[in-house]
Amino acid sequence: MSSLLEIRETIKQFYCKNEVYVNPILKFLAALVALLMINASMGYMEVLNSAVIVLVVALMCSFMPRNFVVLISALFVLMHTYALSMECAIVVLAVFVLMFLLYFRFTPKDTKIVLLTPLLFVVKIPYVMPVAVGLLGGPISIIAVSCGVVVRFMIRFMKDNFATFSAEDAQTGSQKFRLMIDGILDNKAMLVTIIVFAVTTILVYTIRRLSADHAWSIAIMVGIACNAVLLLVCEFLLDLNLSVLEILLGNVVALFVCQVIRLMEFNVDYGRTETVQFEDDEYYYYVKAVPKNTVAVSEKKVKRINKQQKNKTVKPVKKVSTIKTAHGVSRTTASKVEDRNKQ
Amino acid sequence: MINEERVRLMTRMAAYEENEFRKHKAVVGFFRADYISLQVVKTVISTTIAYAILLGLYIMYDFEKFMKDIYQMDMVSFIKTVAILYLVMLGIFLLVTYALSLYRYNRSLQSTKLYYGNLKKLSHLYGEEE
Repeated sequence: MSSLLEIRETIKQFYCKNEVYVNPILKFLAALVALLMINASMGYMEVLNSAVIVLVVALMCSFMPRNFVVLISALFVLMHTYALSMECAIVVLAVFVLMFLLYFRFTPKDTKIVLLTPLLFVVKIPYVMPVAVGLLGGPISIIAVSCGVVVRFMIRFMKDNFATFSAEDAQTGSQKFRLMIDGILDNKAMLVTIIVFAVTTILVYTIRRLSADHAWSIAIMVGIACNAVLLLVCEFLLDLNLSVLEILLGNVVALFVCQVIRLMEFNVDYGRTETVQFEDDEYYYYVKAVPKNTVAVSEKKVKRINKQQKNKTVKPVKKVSTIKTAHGVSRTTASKVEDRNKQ
Repeated sequence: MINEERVRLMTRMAAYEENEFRKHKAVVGFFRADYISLQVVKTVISTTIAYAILLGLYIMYDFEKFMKDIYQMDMVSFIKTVAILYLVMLGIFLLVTYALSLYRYNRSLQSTKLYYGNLKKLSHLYGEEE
């Protein structure tokens, strides 16, 4: 445990020292991962699949504001969709614009959740998202998670119906358009996922705000259990074509990831909890103070030994003590000796 | 000699200046009513565009059927329904915008007041030292 805390402190210190370099690198990596994942799961436009373009765009993102990564990712999705079918691109563009106008205009900080949710779906651990949002955010962020889920299911629907959308003469434009909208609105698995994630987020948020001991750990466990149980029940009742093994394994990994988040964000020592009670003119106060776990990072000292220093005879340092001079001014014995030498 | 209280105060103020001061200053630059009005106008525009997109998607969903029915349908009742739905949507978003912008304005005002208070305190600390 203490070694984990030490790692956390080291990371913090490293970030504080090198913030100027770390931020662009992190943005570059985030953009790179996002764009590569989008290309891997869509990849309908050949030009965008080029490694050079991905690298250049990711590099550009590293010098731009954080939300630029989200904007570029949305643009990539849109262009891939356009390469597949123009009707799909119109629907995707409409969905993105609606998301921006109706929600992200108010809370621009939540845009990263929309980007992260589909990416976590790609690596099969989307169950991290509702729990993490419940721990670190508020219930209003459910809308952002839901938007992320919609984007993910939209992309998957296009992938599943690739043959239908790419065939030029098989269907008319309006039929493709209708199919795409139906694919979004009549998607049972998407609706169930949105509802389950919303319930989980509210549950986690409510529990972690309690003043009970180990509230965060309990919130994580209850959240993960709720996620897994609700999804499995819905899968058995509604036959959503979700993989049971994926749900179980994904939730186990999510539990681990959420514990790491807890360690980084909320690490307290309940053993040293203090309960104090006091009053002023207007109120009685019942205060519970839980101390944070902190560990001092041991600093590495590098001792340089070179030849010159070895050959030099090191004089013993004189003990410095103050003496009174004739004028009443304090001086040190060391400086007095120095004065004598000068004379 | 380093004045610890002064350093603490300056660090806190520098962190605030770095992160949120610019945003809060832009908000507090308006009178409360003006700020809320501006947000309301923005919401009216964005909600109108969003509603137009939704309506467009609805019509495009079954465009051929819509074009066939357009001469037979009761246009007045159709327009009335469209207008009522628009007003309901606009009303909901205006309420949210009003509450949110009021909250944000008050929070920004409080934070900037605290910042200027700290600035005064800092000036006193310098004065005391001299």
